[in-house]
This record gives sequence, C-alpha cells and structure tokens, in this order.
Amino acid sequence: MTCKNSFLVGLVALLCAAGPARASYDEKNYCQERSRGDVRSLCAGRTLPYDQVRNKKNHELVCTSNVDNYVRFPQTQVSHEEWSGLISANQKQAAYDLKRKLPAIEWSGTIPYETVEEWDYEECERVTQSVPCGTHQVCENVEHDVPTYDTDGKQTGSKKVKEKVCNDEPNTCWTDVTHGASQFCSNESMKFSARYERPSTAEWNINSPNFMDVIPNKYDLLPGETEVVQVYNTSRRSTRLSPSVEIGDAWNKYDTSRITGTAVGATCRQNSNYSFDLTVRTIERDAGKASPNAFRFPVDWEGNAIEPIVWKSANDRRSGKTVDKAVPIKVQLDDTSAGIISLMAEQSRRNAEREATKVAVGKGANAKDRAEFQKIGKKTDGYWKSTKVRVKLYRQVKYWWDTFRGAEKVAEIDAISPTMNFLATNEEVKFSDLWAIPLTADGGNSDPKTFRGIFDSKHMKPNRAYTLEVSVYQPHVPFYKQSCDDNPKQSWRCKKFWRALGMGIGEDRYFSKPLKVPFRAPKEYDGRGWFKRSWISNAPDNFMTWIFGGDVKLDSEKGMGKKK
Amino acid sequence: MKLYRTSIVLAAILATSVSCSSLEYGSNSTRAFREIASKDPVAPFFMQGYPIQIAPGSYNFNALDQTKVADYVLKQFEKVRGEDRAIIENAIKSLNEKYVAMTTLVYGNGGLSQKSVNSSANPASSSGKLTVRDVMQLQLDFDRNLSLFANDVATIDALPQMLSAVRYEPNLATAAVDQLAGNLKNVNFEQFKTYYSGQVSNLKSAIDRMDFGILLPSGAPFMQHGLSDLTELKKQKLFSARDIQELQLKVGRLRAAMNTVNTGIAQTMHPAMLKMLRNVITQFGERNRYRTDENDSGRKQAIKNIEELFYVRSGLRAKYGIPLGAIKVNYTMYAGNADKMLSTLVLDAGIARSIDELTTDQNNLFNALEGLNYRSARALFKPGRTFFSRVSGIVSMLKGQSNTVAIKTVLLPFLLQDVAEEVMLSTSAGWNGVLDGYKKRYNTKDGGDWAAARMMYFPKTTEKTGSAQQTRMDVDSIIGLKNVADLLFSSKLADISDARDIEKQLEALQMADAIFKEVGARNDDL
Repeated sequence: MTCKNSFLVGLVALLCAAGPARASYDEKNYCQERSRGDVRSLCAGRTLPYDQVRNKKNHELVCTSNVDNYVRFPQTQVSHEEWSGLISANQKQAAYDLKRKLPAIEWSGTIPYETVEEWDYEECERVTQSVPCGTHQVCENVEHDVPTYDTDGKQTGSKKVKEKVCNDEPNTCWTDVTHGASQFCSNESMKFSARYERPSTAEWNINSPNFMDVIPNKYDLLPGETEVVQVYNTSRRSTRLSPSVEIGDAWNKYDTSRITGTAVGATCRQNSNYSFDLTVRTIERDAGKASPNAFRFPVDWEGNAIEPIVWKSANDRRSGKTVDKAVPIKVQLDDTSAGIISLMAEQSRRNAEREATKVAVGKGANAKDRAEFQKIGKKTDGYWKSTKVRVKLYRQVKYWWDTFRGAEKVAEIDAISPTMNFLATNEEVKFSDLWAIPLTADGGNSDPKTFRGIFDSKHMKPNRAYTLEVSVYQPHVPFYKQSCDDNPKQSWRCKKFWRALGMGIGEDRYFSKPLKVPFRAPKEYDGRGWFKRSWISNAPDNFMTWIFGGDVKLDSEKGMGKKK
Repeated sequence: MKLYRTSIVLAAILATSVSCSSLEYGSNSTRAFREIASKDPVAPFFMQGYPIQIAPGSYNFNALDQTKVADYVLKQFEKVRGEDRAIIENAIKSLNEKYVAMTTLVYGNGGLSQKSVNSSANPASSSGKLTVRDVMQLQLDFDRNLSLFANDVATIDALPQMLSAVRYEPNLATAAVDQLAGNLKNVNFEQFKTYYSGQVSNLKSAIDRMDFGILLPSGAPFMQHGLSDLTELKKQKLFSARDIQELQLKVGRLRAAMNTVNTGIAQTMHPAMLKMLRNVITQFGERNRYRTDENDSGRKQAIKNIEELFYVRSGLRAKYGIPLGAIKVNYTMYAGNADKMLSTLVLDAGIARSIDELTTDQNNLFNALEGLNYRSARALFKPGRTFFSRVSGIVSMLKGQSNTVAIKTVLLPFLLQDVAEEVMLSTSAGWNGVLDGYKKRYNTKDGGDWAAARMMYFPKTTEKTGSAQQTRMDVDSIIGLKNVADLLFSSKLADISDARDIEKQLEALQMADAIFKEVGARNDDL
C-alpha cells in the first residue's frame, strides 16, 4: 500500500488508522512537498517524465566515458640497410640523423559519447524505521525459571518468576524517499589529436647517458613490439570532462599528463564542440619486460606464404600403410627481429672492446657513468645474439582449456636455416632469419644423441586439433627481462636459496607471449603404443570429451566448411 | 643478301670466259656450272634454276642463245633496279627521320631553343632559370643524340653493297668474254653525306649561339653561352655547402651499406656451411660409435664437398677482397694443457668478424686441433707419441669417439685456413695476400685437382660457360651459394660505383676507382 499523492494522504491515514489494532501510536506524516510537476529538462527539446519529478534535486547533465584505441607498431620507413650500414661503419651521428627524419607519430580521432541527464526525486512512502518515524515501547511479560539454593549453596530446585521486558520498536510513518532517475540526452563526439613527443636533439642525442642507437627518437619500438594507446574522452562518468590516456603493453615509461584543449575540465553539455590535444612524453625504456615475439608465419622472398609445418612420412603400425604427412619434424617461422638484435649484439661487442681499451689506458668510465650504464642494463661485456625459442604443444579442447602435451627448447645453432630472404623487397622479410625449429631428433638437428624433440616422446591422437605455441627469449639484450642464469644480479630471486625454493624468475616472465601454430594430427596415422591406444588409458580423456565436447575446428577448416 | 645473290647470278650470266678466272673462288664456281650444264647440255643453265654457288669470276657465255640471255638480263635488270631504289629511299628516309628528331630536340616544343629563350629573356629575374643539373643534363642529351646522328650519316654508304650493278651496262653484242668487277661498293652517297654533315654542324653552331640562363645554388644568375664549353660554369660555386654535405653523407651511406652483404651471407652461406659441417661430423663421427669406417667412399666424398666449399670461399675472398666472416667456435682452455683431454670444440651460430673475434677463433681452433691430434685413436703405436697421448687415444676409443675425433681432425684445418684468410683481409697483407695464398694452394702449374673446380666456379672470361649448374641460384648447392655470394658482392660493388659517381660529381676524385677493372681482371687471374 503506497501513498503516492499527497491529497490522498488524509483518506489513507483514516484507513490506516482503522487498520490493525496493533498500532498503539499514530502514523505520522513527515512528507514535505517542496516542488511538484517541474518537468523542465537540462536537455533542449526534452521534458522529464511527470511522475518522477516530485521534489526534484541534484539535477545534472553527465557525460559517459568512451575510448579510442590506436595500435602503434615499429616504424619501418627508413631503410634498415642504409641505417645499419651506418651503424656498422660507426657513423653514429649520421644514423641518428637518418632515423630522426622518420615521420612523427601523430594521429587524430573522434570519440563518440553520450550526455545523460541524471536527477533525484522523492516520493511519499510508508516506511517503518526509527528515523524519521521515531520509536514506541513494546513490553511483554516473560516467565522464566530461577534456580533456588539451600544455605550450603547447593541447588535445590527452581521457581518460576514473571518479568516485564520492554523494547523500542520503530514506528511506521509516511516520509519522503529519494529515488534516482536518468534519461538519455544526446549523442556527442569529441575530436582529439595525439602525438608522441620527439625529444629535442639537445635532450636526446648520441652522447646522452642512456642513449642507444636503436632508439634515436626515444619512443621507438623494436621489431615485435606493439603498444595500444587508449584515449578516453573522460576518465569517469561525470559532469566535468577529464580526457586521459592509458598505454597498454607499454615498452617505455611514459608521461601522459600533457593534455590541453577545450575539453580539459569542461562542463558536460549538449551540442558541445570540445576537443583536446594529447602529447605523450617518453621518460625511459622499460627494461623489465619479457622479450617480444617477433616471429611471423614464413614467406619466401617473393612474398608467397610457406607452409609452417614440415611433415615426415611414417608407416602406420595397424594399417601398414605409409602416411605422407604423419609426424611434424619442424616448424618454420621468420624471426623479424633478427636484423636489429644481431646489430645490437655486434654494437655491444664493439663497445666492450672500447671499454676494455679505455680501462687499459686508464680512462675507465667513472662511477657515475657506470651507474648509468647499469641502470638500463647495459653491460660492459659484449654479447652474441643467441635467441632461444621454446615450443609447447597443446591439444585443443572445445569448451575447456587446451591441455599441455609437451615442451622443448631450441637455440639458434640448431634452428636457423639457409634462406633466400635477402632477395626480398620487403625489409621485414629481408632482414629476418628463417627458423626451422626441429620437433624430432631427425628434424635437422645435428646432435641426435642429446636432442629430444616434442614428437620424439609424444604421439598425437589421430585427427585431433593441436597447437604449437612458439615463444622467444633474447638473452643479454638489455631491453628485455633476463633469466637468472643470464643476469644473476638482477633480483633477490636469483639467489641460490630462493631458486632452490622454486622462487626464482619463472620462464614465463622472460619468454615472450606465444605465437600459435594450429594444425591437425593426421587421420590415418597413430604412432601411440598399445597401452596409450587402449581403452584404459583413453577412458578419462573420452569421459572429458563426452562432457566438454571433443574436437575443435581450425580457422582454416572453418572457411572450407562454409564454401561447401 | 638476296640482292647480293641476284647480282652475282647476273654478273655470272654476263661473264663469258672460263679460262681467265682471276678470283680465288672462280674454280669452284666453274665446277658447279659444269655440273649443272652436264645434266642437260641442250637447255641453258638458267632454265634449270640458278647455280647457287656462282660468284664473281669470268664465265663463257658464247655457247648460249643470245636472245634468251638478253631477255633474261633485261628482266633481272629491272628487278634489281627496283630493289636498289627501295634501298636508297629507305636509307634517306631513316636519315631524314633522325634529322627531324634532332631538329625537334633543338627547335621543337620544350626544346633547347625554347629553354634558352625562356631562361635568358630576363637576365635579372629568377623565373624560368635552369639549374646547373638541368644544363648538364641538356648537354649530355644533346651530345648523345648528335653523336648518334653523326654516326648514322657517316655510315650511310656502308649499307648498300651491290649497287654497282645499277650502273653496269653490258654490251652483249660485242662482249664475248666479260670480267666481273671485284669491287662493288661504288654508289656515291657523298651528296647526302655532305648535306647532312652540313646540317649537323649547323645545329651545333645554332646551339653555340644560344644563351642559357642558370640560377646557381648561391642564388646568383649565370649566363651560359652554348653548351659545348662548360668550363666557365664549372668555375662557379655549383653546390651549396648543404648539397655537398648531403652528397658526402650519401657517399658514406653507400659505402657503409655493407649490411646487405652481411645479411645475405648470414642467411645463405653461413647456415649452409654450418649444416654441412655438423652433418658430416654427425654422419661420420657421432653415428659411427664403436663401428669401423665402412662407408669410405661416402666419407671421402663428404670431405671433398667440404673442401670444395672452402675453396669457393677462398676464391670469393680472392676475387672481391670482401670478408665473409668465419664460424664462431667455443673451446675451453685449461691450465697445463688439460683441455687436450677434457675439452671439446663446439661450433656456434655466431659469425666472427672483428679482428678480436677472429683471433679468439683462431686460438680456439688451433688448440682444439692440437687436442684432437693428442687423443687420436688412430696410430696408437706410432713412434713419438707420448705416454699420456696414447692413454688419451685409448680412452677415446673406449668412449666410442675415435671416428668423431678422426673426422674433426680432417675438418678443422679447413676452418683454420678460413680464419687465417679472414684475418689477412683486414691486415696489411690484404686482398693481394689472399690472392697469392689462393694461387699457391689451388693454382699449381698444371692446375692439379682444382682445374675442374676453377672451371666450374671461377671461369675465365674467355672460357665458355653456361651449363645449367652454373646458373643455379639457391642455398642447396655449393655453386648456388657461390652465385648468391657473387650477386651480393657485385651489388656491393654497384654501391661503391654509385658512391664514386657522386664523388666525381663533387670533383673529388681521390678514390681508388680502379676497383671494377681490378675485379674483372681477377677472374682471369684466379
């Protein structure tokens, strides 16, 4: 029973009074009507609903928050050949000048958002609560047993005692209850222009303490690295606009506070024409991130795709037939970071030679310089490019996590394969290494005695979808997180004690995110032994399959299905 | 050719004596004639078809029916006259076309004349002025076209060979014996030649009278008279300091762009070489544990392949003088030569390039080789081996490493030689040192084992090439790898040549520009 309109209150009060006899007090009416029927809207051309405006208050126009995403890739407009030639010839200044001519990173966009009217209103409602209704006392006679004792203190029995117990109970009364309401007002859009600030030559040059040749603009990304710049029209839903920016998966530390324009701190209103300019300033390179995954699916020098998985044939034990594509022996991928990483390694060795000479002639770097060097992890020892790759095999399961089946690790020496890539016109391909990662001992690895690939020990279930996940780790490259073996001084975790407790730096913290190579196990070939093939060992798997669904369609197969 | 043959036939008909043949091929032709005539003595030879081999000489026609001869001769006369006319017309037509093109270049729309007028009309204004580069380009274009045209004019009379026949008027009634003239190039083109030569020099002098207004990079105007003499222009300051700096930088960049070569070698020859070496060690070493060496021919062939690969590397260094980089190896050395028994050599993926890296490499390889010899399981009882050496030999035999040690002992000297050459290229011994070493090893007096290999990989310019093998361009064969390297190095030389051109443009000819000739000569030297 509600008392919506105040002119009915009298009548209702009479009815209520004539109601249950329990109420030993008067239901008071605290409702106060300050305004009524004010349907004026803050939004031009609209009115508020009549039944939601009694005692209207906190009436305001707020703007919703929305985001614009911009994905930043490494810039490749400058010829890597020319640039790396200059670096190799130690013409550092010329190389710096060349890359400083790269086009500025600038973009602009429009962020759509809504203005929404929000307000509170009150309704007169019957409530039972102490504020503001007050309380009344309700008493009861309670009977309970009280033990009796003799003179020695021994319990002799009990007697019944009556007692009056009183409680304060909240009254029921009529009062104003606040409700919130909102109403869409208009669609707005905010224009913005954004840019990465190129530091001045005075601020960032080849003599700057943390300078490295591969980052002449300070904000440069290396192959395989990407950033997502998320530009918000306002960081939260509010009457005032506060544009902001967040950089996802950032490879540098950034100052993103430089935002100017009419939109900053502006009042949210209808038909606005706000805009803002955003400048991202680079503070320094973030050296604590895992290596990026610069692997790409391979193409030949003419740009035609190469099949990533190389198979070998085998005899199926049961059918006796020879299956052409029975076991994967290697997976081929292009490492697009090879050019830059080997150049950095070469530079580091040259620097190390120079440092050694400097120390020898008594002009060693002073303590301050050395500290600066170590700050960005620049070691005075030169290093060789020794990219490591980890391959994991997963079986794809529908409606469930993929199940891990096995892993292996491969170094450059076993996997880099001759290629004619240098003939390509596409620079990314031209300076990339072709990796043919062996998956079995005879997959091109020349040390069959010690090497054990995934498929040497694991056999696949026929006609099931699998995934190879390939991750990269670039040892010694100062930009990226290092393993404890390669840089034992980086953290307390690398102390023997903690490593023995299993608290060292985990592999996943320095190996990159994986590149997934999906494929399907052959239909006709089953390399599993009799036990693995038997009903017993397959029972749990079959049970799970029965519950969660079994096979997954690969992306390539989905397309084919549609065509049919 | 057709004209030549017709005329020969005609001349042959007119000639009437066999006896006084004065030309060297007269006797052959006579024989041919006799042969044909003997088949049917009644019919004249021209009714039987032309004797193909009849050439200038003397022939006897007295025995033939003179009326029919006259009839034939007149018909042939007419035919030849028509062909001759066509030839002369064509020659003149093509010459005229070229002349028109030349004139257009000078007087046509956008031609030199118009450029001259536009650029020199108002000497003070900078509008319409040409740049120095424009003028140099104009001079180049004009000179090239003019010399082509002059060449055509000069060689016009080299075209028609047999036109003498046109003016040849035989008298059949009187000539019993007729002599065929030896020199047939008698047509007089002098008239055309004189005319067009005159036109050429007219054009030249017309250009020389033209003025070209040039805006120098400094902003000052300059008036160039004619195009034949640019000395005054060249005395001006033709490049701004900024231009010069940019060009110098470009020269630096071109010379520094060694990365293509390095990348190319790192992607092709280097991994292929590593794979070959590691595969040979695996096949004839690691997989041969506790086995006798049965596949002797295969082993020999594999070693031969490796040797050939290193021969190619040596040859490439000798030919171009550009370093290839050596395989990086790891080897741990212990005090007291303990590594001879303990350490193994590990091939690495890296490429050693700098002197320091190469020195380390050389030392590692040398010590590894010493160690391998020390613990060789072969010739255990050879006199001169120390006791511990023999023990090490027995140990490696017991460990099943005797074949691995043996194959490595064979392969390491190649790697050592490779490193030595690489070092040589960056020292004072240099390119010539490598070339001398190459010759000493592979170019013995009779060529030795390497004659066939040299023919295959580094054929001299005079030698016939073009087998399918030699055109291979891949990473699966030694010749393919060699061709890839050839391509890489010659592209590098192209860069050097570009750099040199720019330097020439800067008139700073201090560079050793004989490099191309030298490389060309190297092939013959190898």
